[in-house]
This record gives sequence, structure tokens and C-alpha cells, in this order.
Amino acid sequence: MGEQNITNLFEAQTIYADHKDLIHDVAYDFYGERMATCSSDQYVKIWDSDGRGGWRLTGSWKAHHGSVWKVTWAHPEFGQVIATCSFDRTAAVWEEVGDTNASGSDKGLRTWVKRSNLVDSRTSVTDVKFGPKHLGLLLVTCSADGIIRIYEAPDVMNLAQWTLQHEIPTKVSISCLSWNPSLSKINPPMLAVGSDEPNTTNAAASVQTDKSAACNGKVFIYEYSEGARRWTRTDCLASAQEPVNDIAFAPNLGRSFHLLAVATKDVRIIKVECVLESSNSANGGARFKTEVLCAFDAHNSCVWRVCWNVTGTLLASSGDDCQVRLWKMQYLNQWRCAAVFKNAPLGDSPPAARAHTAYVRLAAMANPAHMPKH
Amino acid sequence: MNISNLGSNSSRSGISESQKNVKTFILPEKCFERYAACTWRRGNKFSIYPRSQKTSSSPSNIDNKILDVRQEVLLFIPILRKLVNESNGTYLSLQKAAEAAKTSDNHVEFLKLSRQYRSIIRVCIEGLQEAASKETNGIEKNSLLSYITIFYSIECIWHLCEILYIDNIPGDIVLPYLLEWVRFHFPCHEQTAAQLLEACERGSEDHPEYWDTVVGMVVQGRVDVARALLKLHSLTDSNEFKLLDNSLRSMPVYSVYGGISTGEFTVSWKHWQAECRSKLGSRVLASQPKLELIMKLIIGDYSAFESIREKYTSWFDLLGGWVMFTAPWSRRHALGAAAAACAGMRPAAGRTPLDAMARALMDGDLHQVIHEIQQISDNGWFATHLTDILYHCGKLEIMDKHQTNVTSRLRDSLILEYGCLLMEHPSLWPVGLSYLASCPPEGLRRAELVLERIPVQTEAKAMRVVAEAKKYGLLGVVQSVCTCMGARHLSSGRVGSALAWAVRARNSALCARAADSALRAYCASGVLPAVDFLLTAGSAMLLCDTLLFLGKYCDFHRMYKNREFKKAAKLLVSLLTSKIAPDYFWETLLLDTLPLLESDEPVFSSDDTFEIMLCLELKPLSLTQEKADLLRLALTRNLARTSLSDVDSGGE
Amino acid sequence: MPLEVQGTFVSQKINKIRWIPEEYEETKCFFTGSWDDEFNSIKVWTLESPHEDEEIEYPRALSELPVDGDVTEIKFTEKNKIVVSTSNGDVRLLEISAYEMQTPLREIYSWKKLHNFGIDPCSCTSLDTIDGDIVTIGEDGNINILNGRRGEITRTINGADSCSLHSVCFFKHSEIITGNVRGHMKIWDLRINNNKPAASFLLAGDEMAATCILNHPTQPHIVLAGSESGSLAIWDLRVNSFPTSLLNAHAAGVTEMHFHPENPQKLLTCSVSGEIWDWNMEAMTKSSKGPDNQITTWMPLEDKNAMMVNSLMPTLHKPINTLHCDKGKIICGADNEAVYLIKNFKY
Repeated sequence: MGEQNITNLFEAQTIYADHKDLIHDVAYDFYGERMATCSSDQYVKIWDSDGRGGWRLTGSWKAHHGSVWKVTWAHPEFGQVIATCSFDRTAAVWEEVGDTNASGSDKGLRTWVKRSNLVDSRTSVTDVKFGPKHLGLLLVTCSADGIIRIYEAPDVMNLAQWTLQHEIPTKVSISCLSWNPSLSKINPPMLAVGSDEPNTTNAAASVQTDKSAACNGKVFIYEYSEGARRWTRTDCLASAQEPVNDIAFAPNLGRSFHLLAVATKDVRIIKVECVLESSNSANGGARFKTEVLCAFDAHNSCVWRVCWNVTGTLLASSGDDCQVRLWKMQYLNQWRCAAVFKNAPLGDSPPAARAHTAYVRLAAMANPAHMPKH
Repeated sequence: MNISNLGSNSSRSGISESQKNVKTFILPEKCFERYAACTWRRGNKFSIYPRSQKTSSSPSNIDNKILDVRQEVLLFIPILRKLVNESNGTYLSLQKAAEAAKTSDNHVEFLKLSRQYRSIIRVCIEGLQEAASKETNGIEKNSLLSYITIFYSIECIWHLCEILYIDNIPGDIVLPYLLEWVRFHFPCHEQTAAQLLEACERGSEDHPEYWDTVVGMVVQGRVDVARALLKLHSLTDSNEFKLLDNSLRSMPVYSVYGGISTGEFTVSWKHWQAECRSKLGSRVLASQPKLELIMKLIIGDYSAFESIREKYTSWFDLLGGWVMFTAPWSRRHALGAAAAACAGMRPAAGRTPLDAMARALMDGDLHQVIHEIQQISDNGWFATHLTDILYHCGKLEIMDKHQTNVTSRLRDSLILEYGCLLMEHPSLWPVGLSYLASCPPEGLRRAELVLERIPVQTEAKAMRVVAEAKKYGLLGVVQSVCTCMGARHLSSGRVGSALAWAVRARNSALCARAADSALRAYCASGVLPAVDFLLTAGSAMLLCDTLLFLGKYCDFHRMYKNREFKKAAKLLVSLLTSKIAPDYFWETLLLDTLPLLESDEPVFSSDDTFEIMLCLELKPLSLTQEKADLLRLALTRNLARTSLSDVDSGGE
Repeated sequence: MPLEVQGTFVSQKINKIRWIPEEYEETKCFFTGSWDDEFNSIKVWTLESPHEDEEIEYPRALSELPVDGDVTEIKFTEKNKIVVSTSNGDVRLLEISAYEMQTPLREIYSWKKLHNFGIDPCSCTSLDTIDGDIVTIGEDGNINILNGRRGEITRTINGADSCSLHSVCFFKHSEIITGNVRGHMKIWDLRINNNKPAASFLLAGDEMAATCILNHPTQPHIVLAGSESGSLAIWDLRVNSFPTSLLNAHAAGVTEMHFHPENPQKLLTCSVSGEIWDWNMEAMTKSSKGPDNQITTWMPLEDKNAMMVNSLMPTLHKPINTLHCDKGKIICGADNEAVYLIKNFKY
């Protein structure tokens, strides 16, 4: 009976990305069958799964004149389309075209055509995300100077034509953004943005000048009003006061509230619930009731990324401690850490597997308590 | 993703304890010494990559490896896939039975299904045993043997659960069932007993295991077998043997249908045991210590049980005998104490997970049972199916700290997790879907998210995903899958297939895109694509104006080819005046009038001719000057012809 | 004897199943082709009793041939030769040794990427055979005619359909009928070289695919088609191009149909809704027969009654993809990764 827990739970394989500089983002397409990587080497690479565990490079091109910060896929209903944003102050929309590019060493690579170059920003574009597909073909960017821009392709056939629909100045540096994926008609289009502005008195003051209630928060919620045809800041989350590096809405499983994961000095999961119109006045006019469901400082350092799985039941976080942690919700709605992935301590590395498609089992540490803390 | 066996210490433990229990995994190749980030792929797959927040100052020393991580799932090995599929059938039958149980007692059906589950587990164990016996690789063989251990203990616990919570035991007297359970799962000395009885030789005590076998039969409650064995002893005719045989023979056996009440039975049983005790007291058996031991056992002497505990690997072996000789009328709720007594007979023995599960079961603490079961590395198969059947039998009641009943939430969460796990498998996804669908509303929401992300390589697969989505009313998925198929065909230039899938999706935007691409292809090449589709599309044409226009234009070509010039001319004029023609198509439409204008017999009426003239003047830029002049000339000539005898514009 | 059903789980979704014919003894062996998994294969199985004294026979795998993509069709060209189509666009002609069933299947000919979208893969969705000739169809809308004896492509009709083709049937030596994703059926006369269909008509007009086509073994002008919607259409090609009879049959897509080889009055069908049925065709035809003693009219829609259909197995909770019959024994393969053997079928 003592052998019940023998199974190794995870296995891993290594892909050699072959970027000439640091990688900044890895994004999977809707099906998880294609992978896009971007880097400071100004290149974007596309990798296709062979359906049997292997990855094949099928696209690689110089996409920008500066570091490429983020890459993101559009819904496949719009074709094979990605968007990138860069230090070179632009964001770009790329589409894969059917024929192969047969020239020389690029043989076997597919061609990606730049359909549009969005040059409105005067500073580095820090994040780019396609909107939920039921809103049409929308793209949002944010930039270091704190301006959020929402673009729309009115004709989904014509990816060359994007109109800048809205420009929202926030007066603080914006590092990240997330669309609310809720399909419910009750929820107007909603965006959350996070600011990495250091906490100085100036920054706090500038936020207070905004018409929303005085708030030192670093996460803002914007909603689109169909009537006014504009985006307005409807909340500022007081529960996130430290610089924010990443945010992500969880997939909404028909819940009446939204879950927002925030990467700041710790990992936070914040419940955002709409306040009913009727009780609005009693609540001091706040649009949302927010509650921090959990705040984990297990990384013991600044947290850089948060990412939900498809069904929103697991959250992955990573921080300066070079560890990846998985957080899982129990059936009574408490969150707890389900697994930690970290490097072997010095001089104790398991042998490396070189083959591209070979998965190696990840060794589980017998007693994590014995491991040195970083 | 099913990682319930990681840090799933339920609500009972505090945060600090849970942190300790978190499993830590060592990443290979030390590629993430400075930075790391993580992106989810689907389900149980994600990647870890060395992400930097800042640009590097020295791009020479770069971590450039992406680690593709996925969960290893035991249930996905071929032998266990049989278990997954077969138990899915039983699970679905159980959901139907549960539906029926809302109106009538369906207890017998639940018991039948519980037995079905157990027989599936046994078939699975047989499969594993067969594979293990053939396996030559040591590591693989060890894995198979450990899987056998896992499923063996699952069946054992399920059986006990069935006796205690699913079966309706007459009078709630558990002893006969408990004995059956012990004999079935902890068979001991059975073979020796059979051999000895078959040989039927006086003097069998020479067999080295003779006494262990006799005692073993006694503690398993097989009094008849023990007596038969004692008859084979060379001294069986001695007084001591006769005395013990008499005591064994006269032991009252309780039967619910025996016609006597528990009270009466208790009196006669106690009387019998007092007799046995007095025989012991008189020390008549002192010369035969083995017989004395048996006598002590049947009066329920704790130290006697303790003394033989060493001979058994677990306390389960003794449990049946202990209950039989201390309180044979025990009801379910009394088992906890009996289990505690037996477990205490050798306190030094380590506590195995099976111990913990069995103890919790007999204590009636089902929450603890499920918690223990979740620690098993079977990817939640057991916890999910057992919880579900106990829930439907109405035997599960779990309260949270506010005394709210959270049983259905526990059941749902297990099923959702198990269903999502299976949905990640390339072949088992419909099985996973059937679990999710049995847990509305959240199950269907999750199913929606996962189902539309299932990679679809062929139309056959797409049709199957669509059929499954329709089965569960997930119409959003139907539309999404069809639209994606259409979009894929369209981007590869296959207009017919793109239109077929756009129509299936009822997606007018995609129809418009595909129709537009067909019209542009015609302008570029002069060949109209997907004619076979357009001539049979019927009401699907009404999905969007561009498609309707394309269909009508195709119809015009058909009429023209069939030399139905008047009808063709009529249609062409209506297309020109319909206002749904795309701008780039005006040139084609206008030039199409030329051959008709030049036909031997006039086909355009004077009114039609005026319409065309008007169109030509409204869109002066659609034709080059030269072509426009040519057309004007033809129009004028036609007008001259029709002014003499006009074309019958009313005729069809 | 009553019907006897026995299921065996095989850890693969079975898309095609075929008995291997025996001349002098009872058939014991069959092929399966799997689909919708990371790794798919064609397996040869035999039925045998694990213990001497037991009556029940279980399938045991004799050999396995891995394939790329899903197995989409298996048909015989000769007694011991099969032609197999796969979703990666390949078609292969394989031979099984008549005496040593466990020896691996031998490849005689293979046509790699016979159906393709340029460099992108394209599924070869189905095929049919007649006297050693093979017709294959694909999502590319192309038709290929192969010579199974010489291994040649004798004819290709490019762009036979602007949509993907899903079903095909050789109803005469030189005539085929195809069905596409929308239920658009086309008849092709292979003696004519103009790459145009001789006739075309719609299965039902509901934009659902024609999933299988079958012609009557003794009356080749009678053609049946199963639809993705679960309905069954019957045409008399001599009369007109509209279905004479359109039956709402299964609750979801018809996956395969066969007339019983010994009795053409028995039709067997299986479906995505997990049903396997046996139809009494006699009851479906009007008693009056034409002058040539051929059935002239099929029962009109409104007259159909439930009496002519028998269910051979309790409805399965997953699709049944394929069936095959040999005398009183029927085998079928399903998406619950099991094969079922039905014995004592009366034909």
C-alpha cells in the first residue's frame, strides 16, 4: 500500500527556441497546437505541434526594429492572425498566407504578411490583446506613456484596415491589460489594466485627479458604454497598491462575478462583482464590490506573470525566485498551491535529454522542507 | 487538470500545513536560473520559458530553451483506458438510475451498478496482472505491479463501502457480509485447508501449517471447516477434541430470518459463551494449548487475538472473527469500535493508506474516506465514481464549517475535474464530455470552453465535435467549430467548402467573406468558383446579400449557357438595379449586357435599356472610356430596335 | 437462439471493422481500423476462447500496422487484399497471408498524399472497390480511380465537387455516385471524359452530409444514402432523381450500412447515436411488383412504421462507427473503444 503514490506526475521536454536574445513572451493559439515566441532579437517565431509531442518551426521573421514584448493570437474564426507589440513604439498585425516561401534556407517556412502597422504610440507599446470574438475584431494596446488604444477592423476581411476607435489616457505607466472574456450579454465590454508606476506621491496624486474616487490602486477597470459610445474607468481596485506586472481575468464559467489574477509583490486573486443598480446609491455609487480572495507571498519576491488555464481552475504564477507555482481552487472555494516547479540546486541537475520529442519525467523532491530557500 | 493528489488536504488543514505538503518538481537543464515564466497551453499542458522583463545588456549568454510540461496521466495507458471507457457506461447508467430514483426507490439498481463497478475493477486488475506477467522490463513491470496494488485496494475499499453504505443489509446485521469481505480480500490458509480436506488423512497435524490453518478458519468464521480439519487430527477422538468440537458445534448463529429476536439470540449466545468460559476455567484443555487458544478466541478473548496478530499481515484478517466472537449482532455503527480494537492488537504496525481508509469507513466518516481516497494516484477515478454513487444513494452528507451541506459541491467538483482531465485526451474526449454534461450548469460551461478548443484536423472530426455539441445543446460550440472550419477553407482559397461550413454555422459574415472572395476570383480569372454549390444552395442564399447576389449571378450564367437569353437579361437588369452588387463588380455586370444587346433578336425591353443606361451614368468610373462608349453605342442601337417592337417585358 | 451480444474493450476508437472471409470454415478473424487518437493502426484479430472449456470467445490481436492519421475506410479488392484510406490522404493496398494471419500485413501498393491541399494534408474520406478497381474521394473534392492489380492511377477527376466529398459507391462497373458535405449527390459515368457529372441531385436539402452510399446487391438501380442527420434516403435511379423515400431513421448520423450478403432483404445500419438496427426491406417495399418482377415503388414516406426495424443491441452511449456481417455473426466498432460481437442473427 505504501506504493500508492509512486506515479511521477509531470514530464517535460525541451524546445531550443534559437532566438538570438532574451525571450519575452510565449503564446499558444486557441487550440494549443501552435506556439508563437518573441524576443529582444526583434524576431517572432511560429512553432507547430506535430500532434505527437514534437514542435516544428514553421515561421520566423524579423517583426520589429526593437525588442518584441508580447505576441498574441486572434480567434481562428478570423484566420491565422497574430499581433505583436514592441519597444519600437509600434504594434503590428500579421497574417499567415497559404503558400510556402521556398527561398533558400527558409524552405518549409510559411509566410506571414504584415497586414497592419499601428504607429499611434509615441512610446514603447507594452501589451497587446485581441478582444473577445463576440465583439468582432478588436485589438487593444497599451504603452509606457499610459495610453490605452482600442482598434477595430470594421471589415473582418480586411486586416489592413484598423481604425483607432478609442484613446484612453491613464496618466500612469501601464504594463499590462486583460479583456474580460465573459460572453454574457449582461456584462458590457470590460478591460482591466495594471500599472507598474512606482509608488511616488506624484503618481498617487495624478490618479486622484481622475473623476473616480480617490484611490491609490494600480489596477483599473474600464467598461464600454453602448449609449455614450465611450470607454470609462468604472473602478480602481484599492486592493492592489503596489506596482502591477501582469493581470488576467479568469474564464467566466457563468458566474455572477469575475475573478482577476494580479501579479504584484505577491499573487492575488480578486473577486470583482457588479453591484446591482438598485443598491448602487447605498454603496456610495461604486460599480463593483471587490474582495481579495487570496494573496500569496510564496514567491518571496516580485511576481511577474500570472496565467489561467482554459477552464480557469488553475492559475500559474512566476516571480523573481525563478519558480513557477500552480494554484488550484478547492471545492469550498479556497485556493491553495498545488505544485512548484524550480531548478535543481547547484550541482544536482538530472541528466538532460537532448532529443526534441522526448519527454523526461520531472523528479519530485522528496522533502521540500530540506530545500534551501532562495 | 487533475492534481487532486497534490496538496489536496481539503478544508481541514490550515494554510501552513498545506504549504508543507506542496509537491516540488525539479526542472531539468537548469535553464531558468535568472528568469522564468509560464503559459498555459490546454488542460494539463503548459510551458515554462526564461522570460525577461527587461532587455538584456549582454545578449551573449542567453537561456533559450522552452520547457514543454505536461501531466503524466496513469489512466491514459492502454490497459486502464478500458477501465475508463467501461466505467463510463456504468456511470451513465447510474445517472439514469438516479433520475428514476427521484420517483421510486431504486436501491436494487444502485447495488447492481456498484457490483458492476467492482467487476470492472477486477477485469482491470486481471489485465494488469496479465501484462505484468509478460513484461520483461524491470521498471515497467514494477509500475504495473504498483498499479495492481492501487486497484486492488480500490476494489477492497469499494466492496466494504458497498456493504456498509450501498447494500440494504437485513436488520443491519453486518457480520455475514463482513466475513464475506474478509474471506474475499484476505484469503489466508484457504488453499491449505482445501488440500488437507481433500487428502483427508488422519494425522494431518504433521502438516507444518496445520494449526495456523485451523486457527485461520476460526478467525474467518468458517467454523465448519475448522471442525472438519480438527477431525483429521490423530487425537480427534480424545476428550479435549470432543469438548471443543461440541462448543463449536453448539455456537448459536444469528439469522434475521431465523424467527427469533435479537434479544432472544443474545441471551442464548451469552449463555453459550458462558459455558465455553467455564470449560476454559476448568482447565480441561490445558494439555492442548492450541485447543485452548481456539476456545479463547471463540469467547472473544482480546489477548488471544493479540497473540495471533503477528501471523497476519493486517488487522483486517482478524476483524471478522473479532466481531463474530464478541458481538455477532453488531450493527454498522458498532464497527468503528471493533476496527479500533483489531487495529490496536499490534500498535507497532505502520498505518497504511488502506488502513486509514478502512478505519474511516467503519467509523462512518465518509468525508475522511473521500479525503483518503483522493491521495491515491489513480487520477481521481475512484474518488469520483465512489463519491457519485454514495451521493446518489443518499449516504453522503458533508458539512462545511458553517454546517452547510456541501455534498453536491464535493461530488460536482470531483466529476468536473475528472471530466476535464479526460477531455484533454485525443481519443477519450467524448467520455470526458459525458461527465461534464452530467454536472450542469458549470460542467456545460467548462465543456464549452474545452470542446471548441479541440483540434480539428478533418471534416469528419469536425462533424463529430458538432454532433457531440448538439447532443448537449452547446449551440455556441456548433457555430464556432463550423465558422473556424469555414475560415480555414476560405484562407486556403476553397470557396465551396468555406461556403458549406459558413452555411452550417449560419454565419452571415463568413458567408459574405466567402462570396466576396468568389466574386473577386471571377473578376480575376473569369471562372466562377463553386458553381455546383451556388446552383443548389436554395434558401441558404438568404444568409447574406453578397451570397444572394453571387447565387443570382451564377444563375444568370446558367440561363445564358442554356440560351434562355430573355430570362438572363431580365435577371441581369434586376442585379444591376438591386443595389447589392459590390462596386468592383459593376464593370463585369455592365459588360455582361453587351453580348445580350448584340443578340440577333432584342432581349432587353426599352425600359430595361433605359435602366442600364442610367446605371452606366451613375457609375461612370466603373468602365474605361473606351468600353463605356462601346456600351453606349450598343444600348442606343438596342433602344432603336425596341422602339419599333418592344420586348414583351411581362413574359417569363 | 436469441441474439447474443458480447463487448470487448480494445483501447482504440474503432472506425472500420471487417470480417476476413474464409472459404471452408467459420470466419474467426477480422480487421479493425482506429481513428481520432495520437497513434492509429490497423489490427488483425482472431476470436478464441481463453480457456479450453469455455464457450465464450474473445478477440485477441494478431498483428498491428501503425498508420498516420485516421483509418477512414477498409474494403476488400480480393479475398485476402484490402485497400485502406487514411485521413492524411494516403491510400494503401495491403495483403494478409491466408495461412499465417499473425504475420504482419504486407504492403503491395501505396499512393502517398493521393488527396492533398498542396503541402497541407487532406483527408481521403472514403473509397469503394469493384473487381479490383478502386475509387477514392477526399476533402479536396477530387475523385481518383485506381487499378488495384497494376497499382496505377487510371483516372483523376479534379474538382469533381467544390465541397468535400464524404461518400462514394461503385453502383455499376463504370458508374459511381458521390455524396458531399452538403448532401449533394453526383453520378459519374467513367466512360465519358468530360469531367462533368451525368446527373446530380440533393439528398435532403438540409445541408447535411451524405455519410454513406450503398446500392442494392440485386437491383443496382436502387441506391441508398445515409445522412449526417440520421435519415435514410432511397432512390430508384431509373425513375427520377428525387429520393423515392426519405426516412427519419436514426437520432443522429448514419455511419455505415450493409445489406446482408446472404439476404438482400436485410439491411443493417449503425449510427452516431449509438444504435445498430436491422431493417426488413420487404416491409419497406410495396407488395406490387413491376412487369419485370422488380420492385417499382418504394413505400412512401408517410406509410413507414416502426415494425420494419429491429434494434440489435441496447443503444450505446457513444457512436457506433462501423459494422460488418458474416452469416449470423455481426461485428461492430464504436467510439467507446470497444468492439461488439452479435451472434445468432437470423438472416
